[in-house]
Amino acid sequence: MITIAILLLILLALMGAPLYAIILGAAALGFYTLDIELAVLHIDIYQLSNSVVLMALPLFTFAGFLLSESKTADRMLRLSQAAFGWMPGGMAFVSLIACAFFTALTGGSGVTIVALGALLLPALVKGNYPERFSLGLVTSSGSLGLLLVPSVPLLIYGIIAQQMSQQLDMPPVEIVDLYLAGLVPALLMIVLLYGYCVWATRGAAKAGHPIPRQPFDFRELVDALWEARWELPLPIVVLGGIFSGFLVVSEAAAVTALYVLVAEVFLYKEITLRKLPAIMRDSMIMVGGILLILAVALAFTDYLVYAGVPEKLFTLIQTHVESKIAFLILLNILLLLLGALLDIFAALVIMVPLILPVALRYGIDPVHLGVIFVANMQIGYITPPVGMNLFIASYRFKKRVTELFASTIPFMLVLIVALLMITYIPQLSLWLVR
Amino acid sequence: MTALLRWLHRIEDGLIVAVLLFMILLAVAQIVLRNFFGTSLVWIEPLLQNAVLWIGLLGAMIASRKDEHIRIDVASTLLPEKYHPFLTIGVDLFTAFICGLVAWYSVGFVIEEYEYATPAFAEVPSWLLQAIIPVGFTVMAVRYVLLFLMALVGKRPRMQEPVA
Amino acid sequence: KISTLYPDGTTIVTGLKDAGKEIAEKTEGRVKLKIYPGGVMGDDRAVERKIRIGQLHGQIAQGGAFASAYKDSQILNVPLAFNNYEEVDAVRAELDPEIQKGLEAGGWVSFGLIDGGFAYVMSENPVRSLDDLRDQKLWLPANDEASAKAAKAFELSPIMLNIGAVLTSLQTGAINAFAAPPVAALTLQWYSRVNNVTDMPLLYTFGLLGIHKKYFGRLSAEDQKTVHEVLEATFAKLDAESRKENLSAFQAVQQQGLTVVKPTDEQFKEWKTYADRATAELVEEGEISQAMLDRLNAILAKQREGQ
Ligand code: NA
Ligand code: NA
Repeated sequence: MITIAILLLILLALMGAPLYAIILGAAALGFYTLDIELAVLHIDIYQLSNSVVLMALPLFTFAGFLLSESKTADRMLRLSQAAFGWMPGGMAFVSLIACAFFTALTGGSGVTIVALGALLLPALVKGNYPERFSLGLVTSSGSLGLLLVPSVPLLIYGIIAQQMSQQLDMPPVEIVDLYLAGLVPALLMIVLLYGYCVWATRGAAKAGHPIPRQPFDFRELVDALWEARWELPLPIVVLGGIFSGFLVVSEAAAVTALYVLVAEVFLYKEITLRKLPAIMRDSMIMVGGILLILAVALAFTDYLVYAGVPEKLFTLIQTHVESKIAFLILLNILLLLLGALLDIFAALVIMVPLILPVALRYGIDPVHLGVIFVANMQIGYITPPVGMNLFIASYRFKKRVTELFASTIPFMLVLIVALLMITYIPQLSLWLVR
Repeated sequence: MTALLRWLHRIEDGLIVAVLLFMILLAVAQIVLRNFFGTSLVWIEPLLQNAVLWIGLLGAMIASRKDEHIRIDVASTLLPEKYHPFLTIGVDLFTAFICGLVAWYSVGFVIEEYEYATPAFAEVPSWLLQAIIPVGFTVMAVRYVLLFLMALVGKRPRMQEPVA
Repeated sequence: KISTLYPDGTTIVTGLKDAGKEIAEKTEGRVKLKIYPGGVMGDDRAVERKIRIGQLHGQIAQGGAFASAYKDSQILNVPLAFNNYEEVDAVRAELDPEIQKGLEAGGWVSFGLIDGGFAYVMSENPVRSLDDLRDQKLWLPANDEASAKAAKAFELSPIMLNIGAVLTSLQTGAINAFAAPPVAALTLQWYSRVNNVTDMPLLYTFGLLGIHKKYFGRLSAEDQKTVHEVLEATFAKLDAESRKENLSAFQAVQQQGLTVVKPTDEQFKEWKTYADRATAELVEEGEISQAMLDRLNAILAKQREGQ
């Protein structure tokens, strides 16, 4: 009976039922088998109103829509070409750096693609990068900065680990250490991806569609800077606000939204007041789709935890693993699988308390574990079925999830190489710390 | 019927724009209060957090008008267009059923919450903040029933990947 | 099925799991405790809702979480009521059973309180007087009516943030003072961002396990008795252990380099005046009954006389 219901859900998913309905169906089925009143679905969905970071999603999304409705992409393209166009794969490099910074700032809530993807994709395509390559680059870069200060997932890991350090025999886990430890791995990912970009687009020149390289021109750089004068202070406002202690992340998002609103509507005057409500509404339709999936994922996660599924999964693995290397390999596989299914915050909250004590027994440094954890989850953003970057890119670029996933595969492989290096060479994470 | 729909659309659009505007203004007001006046208002934080829920459900309701939800559509890419109505009929009925199921239990819970009369914060009753969940899922359920009916007469919008 | 915000591996969760094993043995498997630690089931409010629909049956939480069932359970949280743990113990010896009875009438079966320690003010700059505190950027938990009211009574303008944002906000300077039991300040690493601790027991805190009567009543009378016996013994032990942890945590924050500052008698009197005003307001609003407050004061007077 239950098996039939599960098969039916899978069939409906393949037939094209909205993902939220499938997840809800799975959660409802699970709770039903446990004899729990289904009002629990309501309670879990209401938990959506319980997050401090989540507010950043609608606000950054709105700011991103405003930026993409005005000519910011052109200004950004001009400026980055002026600054980095002389490098091989200059625009790809710009994309990587910009995404990493933006994701770090927005705490991995998935808004990078909204705010930056809409600028970078047209710029990349204009710069003669193949469309499929560009889509893959932007979609997979949308979670690149999760290991950089002030990323929220790393912070959440740190808080959970600190709570546990009281009970366990382990070195202390300072948040600052985690951010220091994340630095080199994040740079490694950027360097490897950049290397891949240069290598992948080398063929284009041979095929007769060379990616134009722009000779460096100081005058052009100054002009481009002046043209972008109202938008350039934005990163300074956001970074400065957070580091000076003026703003928490969600507030930085509010300031960004207001700042961009003023800049595009009143300073650049590229968006009329009359067009504003429609832009607000359209951006919030997209946010609604994502928030709904997040909400029902909360219900599904609740079912998993309630039924003790993660523990069962883990005990199973624990009984079959002996060496540290074997544990790390399995850890990577498990986290990649979890990343494919769960939202990053849910995965952290559920899995860190389960994995940390065991990892300590295998002699893994808790700071290193944090970096491994988040690096894994970063790849989870582009793995189906639950890959936030795929969903957001799908909304933003009006592409199929399957098509987007196909375009991210080479980038994912590069990221997995980086992940393996990060996992098996602890010094990459720890040399700034210990 | 059309007039009713148009009103509903207007209310949804108006609400979602208003909630977003309030969100920006309140958050900025809180920042100004804290950094320049060294204080903060108790009710702003919970109100902002609930606004996220409202935006989520209002957005989801609007997205259901033309079924612009995230999906994995393997079948519609593989099958020729003429079979698509068979897909949508099954899918729409299922989605309407699931939305209706949530709405049903949600209504029950919110009524109970009303009877418990727990304030969420300040004087705002928590049932009012939660009410968007049953309302949202009811509207979505109705919309999928309508989509199902439209498919029967061949007027359903094409099943598609979301278009924002 | 019991939820708690205490993380897995803490004394309390481990103690409870052991108690669960004992209960299962003694009732031949008829009663089992399943613990969901670390807040995986959500915050107090979500858990309360889940208890209402029967997904969960009880929770270990701060006393405040049960205040709606029995308002006078807040009597131990009266600001500046106690000068030391001897006074707490004297009061608890008499009022614990009372609170337990009141909670049971309100629908919660409980098995004894667990010491949560005194909350102290910890801050970047030394806080001796109320004005000192008013000059600091004081953190209070968002979504917490009780502490918001207290702040108002003390004429403080606090900064409300969720608990998860406290550490970063301390690091960036968005806040630079908070009131918390030393154990919490240690576990959450908040202590590392402040320099001073004010040696004045601002508030007594406690936790307890409440199982809803609806579900507890389903057990046979005999099983109920077993559960009571085992859990009451467990909680008595946990209470004592927590007390020890709280005392050593106060030493530990000093060893971590925090300077202990003490208000002068004059300054303390001012604190006390405001605290009494806050308490009077609580009584006025019906949060605490006058009768209960009188009892508290009577016990304290007797205890102080005896010294
Ligand atoms: Na994921
Ligand atoms: Na994924």
